[in-house]
Amino acid sequence: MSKKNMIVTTEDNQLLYMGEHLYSSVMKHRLSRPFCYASGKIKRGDIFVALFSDAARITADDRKLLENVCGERLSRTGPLIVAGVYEDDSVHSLIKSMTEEAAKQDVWLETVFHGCYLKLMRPGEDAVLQTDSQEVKASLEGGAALAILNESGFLYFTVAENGTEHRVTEILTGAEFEGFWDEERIHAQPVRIGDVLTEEFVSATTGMEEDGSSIIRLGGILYHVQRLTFSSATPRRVLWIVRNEFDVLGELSSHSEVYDMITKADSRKELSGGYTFGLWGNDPKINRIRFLLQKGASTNTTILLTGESGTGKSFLAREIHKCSKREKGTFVSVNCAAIPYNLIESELFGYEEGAFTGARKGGKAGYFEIAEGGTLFLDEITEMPLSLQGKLLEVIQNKTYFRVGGVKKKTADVRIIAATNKDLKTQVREHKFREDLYYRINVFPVEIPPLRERIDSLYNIIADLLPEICERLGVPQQVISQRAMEKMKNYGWPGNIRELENVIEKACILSDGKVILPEDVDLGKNDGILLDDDVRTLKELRDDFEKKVLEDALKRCGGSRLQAAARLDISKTSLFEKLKKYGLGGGEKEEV
Amino acid sequence: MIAESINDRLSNIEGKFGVNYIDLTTGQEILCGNCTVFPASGGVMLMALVECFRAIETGRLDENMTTRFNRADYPDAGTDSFGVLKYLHDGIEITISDLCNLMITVSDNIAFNMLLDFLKIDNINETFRSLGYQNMRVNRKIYDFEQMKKGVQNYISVREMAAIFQRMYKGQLISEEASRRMIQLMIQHQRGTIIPHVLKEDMEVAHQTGFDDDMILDGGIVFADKPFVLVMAAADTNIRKAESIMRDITSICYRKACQN
Repeated sequence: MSKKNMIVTTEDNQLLYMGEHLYSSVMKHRLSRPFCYASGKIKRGDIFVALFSDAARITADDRKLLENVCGERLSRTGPLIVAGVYEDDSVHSLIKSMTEEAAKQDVWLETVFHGCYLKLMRPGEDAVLQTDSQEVKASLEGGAALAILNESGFLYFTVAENGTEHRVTEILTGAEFEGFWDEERIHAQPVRIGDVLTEEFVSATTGMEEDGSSIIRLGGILYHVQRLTFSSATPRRVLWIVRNEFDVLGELSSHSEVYDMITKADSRKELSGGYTFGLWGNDPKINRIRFLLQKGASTNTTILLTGESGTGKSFLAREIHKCSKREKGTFVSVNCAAIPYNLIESELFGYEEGAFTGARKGGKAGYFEIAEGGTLFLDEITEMPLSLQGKLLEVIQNKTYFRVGGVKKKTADVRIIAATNKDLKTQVREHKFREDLYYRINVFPVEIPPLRERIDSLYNIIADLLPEICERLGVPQQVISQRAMEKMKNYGWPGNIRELENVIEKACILSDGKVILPEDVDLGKNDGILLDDDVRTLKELRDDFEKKVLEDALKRCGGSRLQAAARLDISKTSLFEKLKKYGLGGGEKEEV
Repeated sequence: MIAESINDRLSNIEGKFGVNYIDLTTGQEILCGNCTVFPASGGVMLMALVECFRAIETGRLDENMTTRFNRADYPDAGTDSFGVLKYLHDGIEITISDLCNLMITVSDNIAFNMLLDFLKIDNINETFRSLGYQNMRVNRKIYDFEQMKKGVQNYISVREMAAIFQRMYKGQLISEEASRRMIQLMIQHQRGTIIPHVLKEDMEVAHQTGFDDDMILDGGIVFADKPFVLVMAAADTNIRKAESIMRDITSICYRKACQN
């Protein structure tokens, strides 16, 4: 914890220490008026404001100096205000001599000078000089006052005492000014919190429990205030840690970056082959896939990726290519479902000039030719027409093929990665996919589990995705709150990683701050319902749901069927029947 | 109070200074300073812009029509003046719309002079008379040395410029669409040392500036929560000092717009 955010007091609120950060915050948000200034010298660029109750009383030295600085003669009667910027002649000085009528007004001056708001009031005997965040007040009986300020606030303010020389000329020619304190407020007594901070702070923190914390609003900004007591010190000391919302967000953000680095370092382990797979998550199933790919990527064998839609098959294919010996070759991704049925042959294998009406002069290279020396990714392989599957088998088996209309055999040095979200065995059984091709591409199958089956890895996956998404959207880096994470964990993710990416992207856009809250996470109307791509009846969906509820109840009750029945408010017999129906009978604990 | 604040800042200014402020939510107008008519400098580009949109609107000019920049036709191409066209190759083809964009975004003097050849000085003055503006006047091209020797000058009026911006904001200058397009173009104006200087970076300001050896001008619409028009011009004074005063006056007006 930085000392910058701390206040140390005695138990009766006598101020002993205030951190630099809080002090500037107090000043910036008009939570205080200055009560003391250090000694110093006026510097180039500082603003000075000289106020004279009667120009006739200005000393010859002061007049000469100010006329020199302002390049203009000063009035010789009535109240006079002179403002300038020290050693900067690009700023036009402000000279206002007050007429008798104007001097009767409460406000003598209100303007912006060199970017600084200045208001001078003369409501009674005292003159009050205000800036945006502070004000100083003094009697003008001595005839003159001088204030020096910069963008941080007042540096110096002095008034001439009756019968003594004031020091306008000295200060404006670089003499050191003495430190200042507000007699009224300090009276040589100890400074109390209430002298520095507003009533709001004092009343909000009065009565706070020892070692307690509270949220208060000061000047429109929320502060988290923590009160700690040092019982060992005599007299007892109280430590106040005051952090505003921006400080807290800053800490969260920097911690999340460190956490991301740790999780990434853990999940993207260097594999023994020297390859690194940028896979999302760190669960056992993904680790198994990492292991398989480590083995498979370095060879030229055909790889079959299976898994539900959105699980990241295309991403994985690209990763395999990057981690293979063919990484310098071309990676060609073809979605077999996206190419018109009658064009797929010419697109895959290319064609010769004059092969068909409209064929391009000089022919055209197919994807196999383009991917020569690289990798060809055939997504949705089951959409490949049956008539063409034989030609594909030929090219995988013998590494040769003919262009459409060609007579010359071409060789293909291409590594094939195929992918599908359908059950290939069923497709073979239903004669929709050639059996020989199935065995040829099923050499090295890798099944990517759906997101709902590795929900424990959700945080790791999000930690990987979130920085990339924030960067892509051009929004500040976000962190995800625990409650938002819980909400996402309880969702079924029918659209898998693709859906997760979309949900996070939307959350980043909806999030007002740096933390994604549950209300930012829009999971749509499918919340918790597992709908597959296949058409299923209501009964099937209901049975599926009931099975999951029973599994969950048994898990939560440690396998006890009696407790599970009680929890679900159904009879033991009814539960037994259902367990039997869904094949959930085995492995449970015996009831007593 | 705003008038007093501006006057306090102007209290001992030498030379000519004019300020016109209009609160676009209430219509409250404040005029300060000791002059309203000034040599136009870049301010004359606002007149060309208005006339150009009028000519496009009435079909007299096609914004997609191309023209060729022949360096020899523009002797000021060799002078040290604002703009980028003079750095491009001789004979480059450019559309009317491009000329408008260059003239407003980077105050391109040659783009203005080229547009003037299409728009004609008399037409511009006639348009402004018909709109009710008597003091704004184009009399010559920028850097027309011959005319300058004779003392021929272009003029803008702080008050009339403010009225033009007010009308533009209301969508009543030429047409609603033309007003909207002119504002969008002026938001892209790149010289931000005066009005935009003291505002937040993302605050939109549709404005036009003018600088010359002895005059300075900035005027436009500030799209604050309570939008306002502010036009300021100074002449025969220390330009650097006038610039610092204009920035302070912008702060005064912006503070007013943020109150309540």
